[in-house]
Amino acid sequence: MNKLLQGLLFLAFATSSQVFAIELGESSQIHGFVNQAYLYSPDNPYAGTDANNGSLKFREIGINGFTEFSPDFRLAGQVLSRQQDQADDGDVRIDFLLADYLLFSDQSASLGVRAGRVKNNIGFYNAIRDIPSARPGYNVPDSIYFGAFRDTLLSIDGVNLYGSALFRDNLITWELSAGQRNIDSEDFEYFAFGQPLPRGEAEKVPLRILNVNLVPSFQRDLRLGMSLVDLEIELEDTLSVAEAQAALMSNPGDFIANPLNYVTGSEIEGLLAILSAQYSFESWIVTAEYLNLDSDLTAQFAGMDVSQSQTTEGYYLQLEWLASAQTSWFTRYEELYLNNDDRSGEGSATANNQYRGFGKGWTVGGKWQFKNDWSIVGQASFNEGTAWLPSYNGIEDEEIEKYWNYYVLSLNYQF
Amino acid sequence: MDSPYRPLARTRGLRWLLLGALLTLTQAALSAPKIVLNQSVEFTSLDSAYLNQIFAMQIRKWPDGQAIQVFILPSTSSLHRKFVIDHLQIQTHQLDRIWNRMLFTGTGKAPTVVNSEDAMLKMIRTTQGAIGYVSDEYPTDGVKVLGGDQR
Repeated sequence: MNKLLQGLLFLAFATSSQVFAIELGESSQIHGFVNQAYLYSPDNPYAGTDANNGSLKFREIGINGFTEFSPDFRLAGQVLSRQQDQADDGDVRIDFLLADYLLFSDQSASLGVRAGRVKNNIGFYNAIRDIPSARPGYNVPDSIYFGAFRDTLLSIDGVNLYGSALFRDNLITWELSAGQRNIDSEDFEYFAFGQPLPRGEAEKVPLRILNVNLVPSFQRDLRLGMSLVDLEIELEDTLSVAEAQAALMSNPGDFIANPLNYVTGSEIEGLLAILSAQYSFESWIVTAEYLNLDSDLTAQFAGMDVSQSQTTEGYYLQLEWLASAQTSWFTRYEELYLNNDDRSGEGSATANNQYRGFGKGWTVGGKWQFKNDWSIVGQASFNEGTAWLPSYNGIEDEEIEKYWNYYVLSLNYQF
Repeated sequence: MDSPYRPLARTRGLRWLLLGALLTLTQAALSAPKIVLNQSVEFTSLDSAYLNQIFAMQIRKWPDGQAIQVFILPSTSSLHRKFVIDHLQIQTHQLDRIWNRMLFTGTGKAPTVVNSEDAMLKMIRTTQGAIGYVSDEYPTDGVKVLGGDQR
């Protein structure tokens, strides 16, 4: 990993700032980025305990390339390494790897298909949540893009149909995706149970996604979006009912004390909807998104079915000011409720964390592009409730505070 | 004898003022960058929605099927900023973000950056399907200049 970083930094200094990309012939290019952040989270552990005293263990590195064989046919891929203290270890993974074929295109409509591993456009920011230069601040809004479904929703291995249509000067763009995703189910387990289960893995998560955006003719500065996601996560390799019952024979009282040690199956079916709107006026951009997730959670405890339906709701309102060609500022207010019928979060409280059911917070920040390919982002977030506090293996042993702030300074280079 | 001239003097003053204002306006309009195309491109005018989509790299082909090749000056250049604000009516930040989004999600690419108007014109002249811009006073031999509805 360090070698990759060194190589990239060498590349960064070796290429002049005027060189926008590495061109391999006319039809291929290689690009990349390195983002190094310093994160200070004095109140609560943020993706680990390191950030309590300020940590540099927040780093994102990406390299991508594409080849265009014709205007209609292209291949593209990206590898990504993301370190977030304990929450993400910096393993190099394939972010996307796809073939893209444009089936049809004229002045008023287009239609194409992508196949392979494809990033999912869900809301305005899901596809770029790991791309520092495309984010509004250090991170995308927590209330909509919280960690529980991060891996599930990031990309699919499957097929993505996309198109655009100019209808009476209204520009409509749309995408329809279907496929599956292999995930590490721990984030989902934190969402469902507040802690990881001793056994159980979700393997292949099937996803179907519709994303539609509209730029209306009467107001070109307005962009409206709607995303619908149908998802199903099923835990496999859990304890078998026989194993759970055998374990309980010797210690029946433990079932009441530690029910999660006897989960013999679990499944979540969800329908996620995100409505998005963005309005630009001169150097101001107002963005708002609203999330509604209806989920049916079923869990078996030593073979006994327990089920629960809940509605998760979140929204944010964000104001950006593009103060100059090099600088921009933003502020954002957001709220998230894991269960809309239990906004105080009593029902989802765990032993170490009374406040995981809800989140409210203000974020302010700024970005300064001090050279063509270099930028610095500073950001401060002030939160009440921990619905979007990143989970990691071990957070269940930490005492969690209701009011918590975190501060970030990050340096980004891309070529 | 004096009296008839006084209104004239006043009128003359007003005329100069008007002329001055007109000149300023014309100059402002003149200094708006003009859009240039390779001779192979058949358009002589493009409506603003189409132009926006081209520079946002959302459209890959001209209607006749040849690839669209978009050229820009560096994002920090004042001519680029003027072009983006005058012709596309958005901020350069927004365009940068759109390009970064496409580049880093595998769905497209950013325009080719050239470092001078001289290089821009050379690329437009020699690249099939090319589109770009130069400042209004810049000589445009060998390329098409977009007229009509550019806004």
